[in-house]
Amino acid sequence: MAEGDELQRQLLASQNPDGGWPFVKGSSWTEPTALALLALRLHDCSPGAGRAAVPWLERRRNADGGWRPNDAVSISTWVTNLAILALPQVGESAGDWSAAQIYAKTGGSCWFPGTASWVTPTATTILALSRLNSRQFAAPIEQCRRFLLSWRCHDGGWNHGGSSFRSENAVSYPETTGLALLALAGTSSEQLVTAFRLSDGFLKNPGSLEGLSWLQMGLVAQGRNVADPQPTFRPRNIRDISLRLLALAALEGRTL
Amino acid sequence: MNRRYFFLGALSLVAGCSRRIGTRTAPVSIIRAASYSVDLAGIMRRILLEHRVAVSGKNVLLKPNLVEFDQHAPINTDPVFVAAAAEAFRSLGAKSVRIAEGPGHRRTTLDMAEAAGFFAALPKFEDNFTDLNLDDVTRVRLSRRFSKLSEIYLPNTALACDLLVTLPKMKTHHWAGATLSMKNLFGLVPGNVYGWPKNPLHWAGIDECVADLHYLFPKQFCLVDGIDAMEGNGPILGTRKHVGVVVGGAHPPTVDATCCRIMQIDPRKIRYLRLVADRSSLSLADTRQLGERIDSVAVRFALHPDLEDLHLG
Repeated sequence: MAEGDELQRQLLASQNPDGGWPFVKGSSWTEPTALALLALRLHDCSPGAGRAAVPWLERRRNADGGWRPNDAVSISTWVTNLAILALPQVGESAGDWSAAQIYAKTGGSCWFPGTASWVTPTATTILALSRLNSRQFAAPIEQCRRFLLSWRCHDGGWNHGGSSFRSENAVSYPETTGLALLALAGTSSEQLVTAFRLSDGFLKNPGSLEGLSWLQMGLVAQGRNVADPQPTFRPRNIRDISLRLLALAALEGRTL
Repeated sequence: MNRRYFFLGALSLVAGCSRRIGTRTAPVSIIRAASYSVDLAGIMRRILLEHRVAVSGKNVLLKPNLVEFDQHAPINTDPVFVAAAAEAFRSLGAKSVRIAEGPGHRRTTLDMAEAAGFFAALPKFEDNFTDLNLDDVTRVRLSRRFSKLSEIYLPNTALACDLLVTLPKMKTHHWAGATLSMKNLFGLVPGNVYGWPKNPLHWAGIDECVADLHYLFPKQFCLVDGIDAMEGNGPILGTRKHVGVVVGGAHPPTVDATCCRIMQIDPRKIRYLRLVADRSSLSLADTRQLGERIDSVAVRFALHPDLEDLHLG
């Protein structure tokens, strides 16, 4: 069985009866559900699974406009960005919550409301607001791009986004470097030369299937030629399966 | 809580420990271990027996420190150390022994664990491991509040265990001064709620949250990997420091205070230790060492230049 077919089979087999997906097993969470839904959609697979997942995801929206990560957690968090990406019919108002999380001082966004800016929530905010394709989000998207470009490790890539204070020599991670490159699609390649060089090295040893998947998606979005080495890493959870499927789709020209 | 440690102290007296244990003290064991190839499971079993830890029939959760992997730096609790702990608890009749961790920076937990050697050291590691960043959670109210938080989400695997065994690496920390048993509990906080890092806890006060977490898990035992430790710009960018000890005890503040003294750091200057000590009638000095004396194993740890004043003396 082809890798993509096998991953889709695994994904469908792990869907919870309520329509959502767990991270590994257990209750459904917004993040793996959104990623699984995106992956299945890009592979045009199993509309039935999608029909069950969409209402699950829609029902996790809070009154403040954001999405909660799980039924046990009441507050809206960064997973709102993933819900926006996964629900094609969601309106512009869904972007208001994400745009409101951008910290004016840094231009980045947070995992959890009212806290500092980090790479992953900032990158996913760019992706979500860009998906809404509304002029009202042009300024927040630009703020987030500036944050990412300025918040890099000394090697030219990205890690989680910690301060360089007392951590000047902290190094980049493959997964966050790939995600940042994906979010920075359209940025002048001159600003990303060192990140491309770093990514070429990371591709030889991405450390995880997640790392390989984000790198491939990021480099494809940057218009780079990307090989698909037979992965030596195996999926550890639903996120990994979904991200690998998204990367396979990106390599075939189907993107988020 | 104090009654518990009075009881432990009294039990140690009855057991005829190598040093006399007074009342109202928390015993802390310091055992030499020159390398990871010595009989660590035997050492840990000895410590658990000496402290009369109730293990039989218990669901034990081992919480190592797994942060990032760099083959040149002792960032993580050594997997051989974790494997020895699992063997020790199983040999003393634990009903189950699981391993769990929720790294604070990266989401590729199992891949980091594999690179760090956990799969090689622990048979069926993946079957016995829970990524606490991906676990289902429960909201818990804080009864003894130190931080600005009134409640916190915690992973169900950690809440369900009978005995939480914290297995930290002995390291300096460029913010907190030292990261040991108590700080290791940060890894219990779920990333799937709070993010990577668990930034809401930083905003609520790192030291205060460490103290909050300490009181949320009253049934703990600590086994500190002080064989190859980390000095300097810890907890990630520091350098190897060989100490050659395993430090164990049931009372995390006094275990950590002992480790600090081994590192020649003043435990009273470690804010989270002071927070807990100030609200407890058991002070950081109410410690009786079993096994080696502190001064026989103490070795000065280099600290980040901004933190030099944390040194003893």
